[in-house]
Amino acid sequence: MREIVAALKEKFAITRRRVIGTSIILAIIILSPILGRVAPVAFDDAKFGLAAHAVIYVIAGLALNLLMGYAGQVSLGHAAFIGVGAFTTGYMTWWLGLAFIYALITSAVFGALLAFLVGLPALRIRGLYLAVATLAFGVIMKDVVFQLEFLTGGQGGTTVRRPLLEELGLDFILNADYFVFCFVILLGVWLFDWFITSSKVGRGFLAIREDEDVAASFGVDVARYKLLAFVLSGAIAGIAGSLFGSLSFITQHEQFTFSFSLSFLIMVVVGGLGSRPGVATAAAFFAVFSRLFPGLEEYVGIIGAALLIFTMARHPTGLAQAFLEAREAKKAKAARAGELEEDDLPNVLPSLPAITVSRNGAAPDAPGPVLKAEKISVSFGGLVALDGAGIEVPRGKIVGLIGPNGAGKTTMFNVVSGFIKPNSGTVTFKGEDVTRLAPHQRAGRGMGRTFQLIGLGKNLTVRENFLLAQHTLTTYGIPSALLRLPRVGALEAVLEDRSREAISALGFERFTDTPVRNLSHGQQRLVELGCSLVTSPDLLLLDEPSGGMAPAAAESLAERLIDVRDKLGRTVLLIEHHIPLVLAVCDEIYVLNFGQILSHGTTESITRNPEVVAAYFGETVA
Amino acid sequence: MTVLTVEDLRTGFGTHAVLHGVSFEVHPGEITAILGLNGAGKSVTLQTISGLIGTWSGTIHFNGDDITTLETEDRVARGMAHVLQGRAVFPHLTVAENLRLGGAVLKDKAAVASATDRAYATFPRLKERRDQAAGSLSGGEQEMLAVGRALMSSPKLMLVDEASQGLAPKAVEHLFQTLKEVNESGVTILMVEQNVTFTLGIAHRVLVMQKGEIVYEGSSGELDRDLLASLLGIGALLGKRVLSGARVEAAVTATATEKEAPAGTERAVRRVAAPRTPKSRATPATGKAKPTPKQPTRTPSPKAPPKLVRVGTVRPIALKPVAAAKARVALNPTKPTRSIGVKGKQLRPKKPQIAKRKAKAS
Amino acid sequence: MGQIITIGFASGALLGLLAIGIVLVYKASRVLNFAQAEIGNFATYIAWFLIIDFGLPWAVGGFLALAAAGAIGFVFERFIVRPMLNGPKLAIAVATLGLMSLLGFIESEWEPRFIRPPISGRGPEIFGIFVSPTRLLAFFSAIALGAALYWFVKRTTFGLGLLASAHDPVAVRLMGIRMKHLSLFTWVTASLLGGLAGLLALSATGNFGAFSMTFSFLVPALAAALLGGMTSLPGAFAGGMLIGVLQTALSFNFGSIPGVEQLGAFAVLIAVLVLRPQGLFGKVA
Repeated sequence: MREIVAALKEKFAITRRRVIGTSIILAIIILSPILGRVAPVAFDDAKFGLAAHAVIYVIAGLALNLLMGYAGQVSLGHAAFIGVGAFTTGYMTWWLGLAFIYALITSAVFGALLAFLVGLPALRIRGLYLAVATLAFGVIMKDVVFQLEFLTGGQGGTTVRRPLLEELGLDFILNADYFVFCFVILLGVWLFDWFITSSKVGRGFLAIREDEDVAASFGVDVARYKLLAFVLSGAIAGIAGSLFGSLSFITQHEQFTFSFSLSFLIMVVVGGLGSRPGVATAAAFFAVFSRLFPGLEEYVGIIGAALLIFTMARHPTGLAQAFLEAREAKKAKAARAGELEEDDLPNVLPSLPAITVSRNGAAPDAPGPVLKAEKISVSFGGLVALDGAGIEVPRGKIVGLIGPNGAGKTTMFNVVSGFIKPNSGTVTFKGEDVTRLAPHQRAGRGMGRTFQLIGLGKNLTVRENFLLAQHTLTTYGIPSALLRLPRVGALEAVLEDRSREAISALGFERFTDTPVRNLSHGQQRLVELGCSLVTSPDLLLLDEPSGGMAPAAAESLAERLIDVRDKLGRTVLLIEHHIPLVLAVCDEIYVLNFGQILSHGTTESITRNPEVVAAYFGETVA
Repeated sequence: MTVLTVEDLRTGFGTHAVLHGVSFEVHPGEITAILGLNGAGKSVTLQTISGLIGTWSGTIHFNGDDITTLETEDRVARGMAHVLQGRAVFPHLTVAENLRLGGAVLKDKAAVASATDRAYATFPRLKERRDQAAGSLSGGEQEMLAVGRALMSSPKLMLVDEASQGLAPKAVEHLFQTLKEVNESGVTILMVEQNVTFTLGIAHRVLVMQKGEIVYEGSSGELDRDLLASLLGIGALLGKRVLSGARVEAAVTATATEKEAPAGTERAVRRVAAPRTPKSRATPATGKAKPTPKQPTRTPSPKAPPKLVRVGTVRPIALKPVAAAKARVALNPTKPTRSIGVKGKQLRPKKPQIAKRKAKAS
Repeated sequence: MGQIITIGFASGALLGLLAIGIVLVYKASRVLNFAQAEIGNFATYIAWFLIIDFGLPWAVGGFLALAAAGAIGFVFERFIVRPMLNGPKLAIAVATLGLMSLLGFIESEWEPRFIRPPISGRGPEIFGIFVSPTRLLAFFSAIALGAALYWFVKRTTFGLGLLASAHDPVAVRLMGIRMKHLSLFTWVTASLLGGLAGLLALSATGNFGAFSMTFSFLVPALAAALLGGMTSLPGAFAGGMLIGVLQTALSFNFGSIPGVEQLGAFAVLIAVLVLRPQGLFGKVA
């Protein structure tokens, strides 16, 4: 008997915390309507109204958190999406007399649609300018659209009905009942948010927030995910708006001012960008405070504004984050005491798990070179960066790209990995023409790359980076992720296992939950290499791998790279300035100068060519 | 008194370490050149000297004063000028306005006026184009403007970062000629260059950097092509066996004795001592080493003969025996003097430093 | 048509003032000052207290209110902006949102007010409408200030440094010009410009409340600054005039659509952001 209980406990991950948490939630759901009816004096209906208010704010806060906290897209017009939900629900329940549930769903849909429209220009506008655009958008919605008579009842606004379940005789007029209704929806939203963060969708968002190029190199379709973030945020905000309108029975354009948007910004920023509980707490606080003492509404605003300024000045990632960071820093310090010398890169790369992957594009053992770039020409304005240069990388070899400063090596790299489109020329990868493909598509076909300044999500933990790195291996689609179909969970478990294996192969178990930025440079480089290798890429592009390393560590790296080729069987193309490393490691070398291939061959033939040295000396060959 | 003394400079970006202990001096009235490949840390060195990048550890002394913690603007006020890489003129301002900004540290209008006249005298081409937008000038003219602008404040030290980059050979020739004349009129120059040939023609002293360290410091006369190539790290590209240990010294001394200066001048070849006792590294490996204890500044007499000092061994790759057997012709399989093969918690001995810490008596 | 131009120019001049302030701050610190309009609102409240409550003459009260605006800019720059200059610029911009919010919520403590214009009277008749002296004052002072600022920026070394810093702040430091001085100058000047714009705009209409300036003027001012490519001072001013005229034309012809002026400004803003980020008048001067 005891074994059965233990097995059950394990299967459903029943811990004491979970039991308590679930009990509290059940208690709220069951007791509230009862108490509201049975003890109206003690549990005054207005208080339940306040509680419902708090719940709605939390939902809206989570929506903005998804967009700003996860995906890093600044939005100052959040009130507009909430307003859309409120007015849609009002229109449908009051004017059209439809059931609340249809209104709720439509509000979500309209919120999503509007957010999609806002998201489209957001693909081109970034950061500060995006903030301006969303601010202006929010103002327009309030000043123009929400005041259109035929849509929203103009100045007077629209009445909104509460949901109605005739069969059960529930009209949700009693705030206690309505509170439970909203609470249940909050639970659904919370769960949905969890589905997102524990799948590739959430990781894709975080990657975009960290560094869009790095995200693309891991295979994240940045444009699609950005739009998705907007759409999901808009949908949830629409739901919040629907509940919001219904709570006060009326909705008017005056409610959706810029300062309303700003309140949510404050909640998200102060509570902690990306932290569900942090945002929820801040949102609940805000709602309760501003309503509990009506006279204090302005003071709440003042305090909130002051908090915003303070948080931005001291802890731009949010107060919750700051708190976590302080704890993290202490742990990291302890973990690093007694560290290995920086220069000793552990001899671990060969023990990384090797996996066989079936990918889009040609099979990895198709005949011919893995990579062929032909007659690549790139010019920026009047400057010619590459002039008809071409390289070939045979399978299982390490090819080096060297040349003096400004020769065009980085440009060639970026053309091969897809970050720059050449003016002319073709890039063929495993026999397939990929010249027109975006970086994330090339990643999906088996091209991996590293970056000069370390291509990782610096604020993400080592574990999260390894999960992110396997983005191209997550074969479930976005809808499956959002609905958390069973195979999502199964695949995630596989990803976690592989990450754990890789992390322990590197000997970094103690760093599993450490943000990458807290590691030393050499350690970060190792994690980066590990991440780029974990998907068994058919071609690995290394961008100045020895950069930032002391010369001794660079030599250690050389040995590691030889292992990557011999023991893991990978194909590598690298740019380097540290020539001894290149000569030790490369099977073939291309020398670039002034955008053209000056010389190509084995290390032997390169060393016999006097033009190469002349190029480095800056001499013009007579 | 040296114009500039840099000691054990270490710095980088975030965790990305770029300089691993750089020390050298710049003597008044000379052109000192720093050569090295890309990624060697040359530009970072200049930027650390002018204060655009902070130091992790080490000190910088300018005309005897410790400026390590001073802001860039203060360093400029004390007589330092820095010509940034890639010309860095203000394209939307006119030539005259650019020059005027160069003289921003000058106190009164008269000084600015005379400085401007001097600039136009040195660069007549600029005078012709004084009201043209700087962005419309040719590359060579822009470089002239950048140099002219730096000279406006009559600096005691001018830092020049890869002035020849992206210029046609004719323009480079003209530029270097100008730099030579500027130096002859009394301006001390510290320049960073990739163009070896032209640089050796005008520099008095040459420093060679490789991967964030100085591997050579001496007068330009001593360098020949092969030696320079190996110092840069591309010696192997010449098919030469990379020299190490005693071999380098012998070659260097041989070259030095050939090009003997006027009789009676002493040349001291300082052999690098055995590796120092390992410094205990209590701090974790984040690249932020504890600041080294201050060393007494060396003050050589003004006419001290150029000292030829070799720093460290030239760095070949240590290969595993298997790989070496594959006969990579160009590489010298000799291991360097450090215990690279030992894994584990072995503390690595500090790299051999320039053995010039002893305060000179005379 | 003449009426549209007249009214448009009058309000456009105020937008121009605000836009110049926004561009100034952006040039020196690459930060968008969202509080630009609200500072003017706050200054007007202070002017109200001094003029209506205390009974000081308008000029004196106005002057003191301006000084207060400058002080706010000074304090904000010194204690909030400067320590943050090395971090992400977006954070500073959000901090200005906080400032705008803070000022607005403090104002919410006080009820909406009415302030009389500095110069009373109907004013001259132009193109068939009476242009109030306040609006004339706004127009001419905007031009005068804009010109003065332009002269300063082009003719003094410090001003040149300001122009240059939009392009290359590092090189400006190497000229020995301190970024903190540039930063301080721009923030205080921008606050003064915002304060003046607020005083003149709100006293022309008379009634004002919390967030009034922001609601009416922030988005158009941002659009004007964008038309100037965020770098050109005369461009921002011209942009302000253009938008002023546009808004007036829209309200004359499509007045029935609520908020149509805002819509026009919004359209310009989005068009610039998406189609031509360097603005119509973008050049670095």
